[in-house]
Amino acid sequence: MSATAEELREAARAAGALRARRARRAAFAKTVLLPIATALSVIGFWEWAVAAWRVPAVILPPPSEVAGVLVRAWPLLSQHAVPTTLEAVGGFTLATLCGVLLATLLVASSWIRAALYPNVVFFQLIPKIALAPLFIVWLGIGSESRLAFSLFVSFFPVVIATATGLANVPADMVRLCRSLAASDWQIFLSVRFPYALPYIFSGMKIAITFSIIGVVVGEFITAQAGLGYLILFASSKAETGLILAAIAVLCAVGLALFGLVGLAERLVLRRFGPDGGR
Amino acid sequence: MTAAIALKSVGKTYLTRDAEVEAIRRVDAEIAQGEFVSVLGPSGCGKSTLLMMIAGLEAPSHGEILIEGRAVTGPRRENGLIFQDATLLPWKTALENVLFPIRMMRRPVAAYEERARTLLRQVGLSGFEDKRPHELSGGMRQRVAICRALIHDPRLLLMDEPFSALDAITRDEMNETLVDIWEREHKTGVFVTHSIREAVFLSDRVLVMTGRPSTIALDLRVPFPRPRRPEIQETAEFGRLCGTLRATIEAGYGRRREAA
Ligand SMILES: Nc1ncnc2c1ncn2[C@@H]1O[C@H](COP(=O)(O)OP(=O)(O)OP(=O)(O)O)[C@@H](O)[C@H]1O
Ligand SMILES: [Mg+2]
Repeated sequence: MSATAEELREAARAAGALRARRARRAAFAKTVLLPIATALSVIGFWEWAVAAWRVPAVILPPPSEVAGVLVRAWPLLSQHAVPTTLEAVGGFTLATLCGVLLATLLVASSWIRAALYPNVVFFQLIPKIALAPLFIVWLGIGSESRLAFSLFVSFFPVVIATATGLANVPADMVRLCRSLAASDWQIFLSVRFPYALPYIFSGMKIAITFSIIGVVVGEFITAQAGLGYLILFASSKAETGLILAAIAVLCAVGLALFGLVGLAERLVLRRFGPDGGR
Repeated sequence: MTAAIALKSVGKTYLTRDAEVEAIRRVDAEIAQGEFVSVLGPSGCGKSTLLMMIAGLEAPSHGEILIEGRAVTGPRRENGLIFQDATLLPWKTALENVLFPIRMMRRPVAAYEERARTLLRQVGLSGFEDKRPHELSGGMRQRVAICRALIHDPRLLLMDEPFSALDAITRDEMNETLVDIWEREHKTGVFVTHSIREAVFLSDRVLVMTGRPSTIALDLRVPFPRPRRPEIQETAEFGRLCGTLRATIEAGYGRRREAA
């Protein structure tokens, strides 16, 4: 009798597990396979349409030809990808350090906050790309100006996100610390900064994409090296296939860097996130 | 014996952007060593403000607060605070959260670990020492917060509606836990609540505040002996005390309505 009951329960558990697996597979198909299928069909349509309407390769080469250029011109492309990547990472790193530092000062002193924060927000609103030529005037056409411009472009999202995070600590948590006569610095290190980490990372994810934009714009203007320069160069020779191949490499670089920041975020938030990074 | 807490015509007026808000007009009271006093009163009458002033986190606008005979000028480490939300650090385990005040006070954490484990066991959380807040229920989190308030053996426990975010059954359990702890640890306690029954069950005395700007409308002694058993809540005496308090609070509301 009890054996049968046990068997029934076992069967119910197995059926439940099967349902859960099916639901997981359906979710995977929807969230992973569907977007990939969409992208592939757009590329397929592009290939077909270019041939069907006889679009000249100068206007729009088919994806297969772009892939061909990607393979043939790989030495050139990878050579130019290196400075772009390094400068973007450099600009991003500086932006993160300076951004967190400035946000700390903004939260630490109401005078500094009153003096700077409205200006930070104002700067966030101006079209910063328009200032790129100024950086060339100030710093020349070398790496420094591109690094500085990329820092400038990607700095504001980090400041604003970090300042929001540092100020977002529950008021009672701060009261508790103060009641124990903890110093502002102790409260910053043990409470404010860890609380702000999720915000800091959301700022960093914006910063990494912005820093690539900053570097590419810098390369457009300084015309020395890098994928931005290669795109400019290819366009002057009407090599549309090379332009698209360079853009594809740029996308890959951007995706990889964004992925690295996302990975770091997951590792850090597994330790410091509100719910163990789940 | 000097009173644990003496409030001498304490008042608080907040300066806001466009007006002065007189939260507390005048409060005079004395709380003896080892006494557990609840504070009842309509929302916005200044209960939290009063508690923060006793904790030294807000300065009174006039009057004076003495703790064990000495004027309060700022935070003192002899206070344990418990809030409505557990306000645990989400990335720390239950044990680390209990030990957090020790770290803030730069005392040797290892020396307090045994006490932290004992406290957690006493509130029924053995086995949960290494769990993080998101793995605990609301009631369990608030138990951790109670242990955190007690870890440095403060002489004064200040509690601002610590159980009002919990469901009724958990709340009853927490009341019994608090009574147990109270009778073991012998501290002086100020307990802000909106629950009349909770106030009567836990306290030696209940203060009722009027609406804003507030004064003390009633200072009621609760005669039940300790240790307190949950059964006292069924007695006629308990019902009578609750009735008196309810009538006073409602009169306070009425006064406010007339004023408006
Ligand atoms: N920092 C502040 N600045 C200005 N006004 C404040 C401040 N803190 C509280 N007040 C005002 O003082 C009054 C009393 O607030 P308090 O929080 O002490 O009330 P309370 O009795 O704890 O209310 P509740 O039961 O809702 O928690 C309220 O009118 C509130 O708006
Ligand atoms: Mg309150």
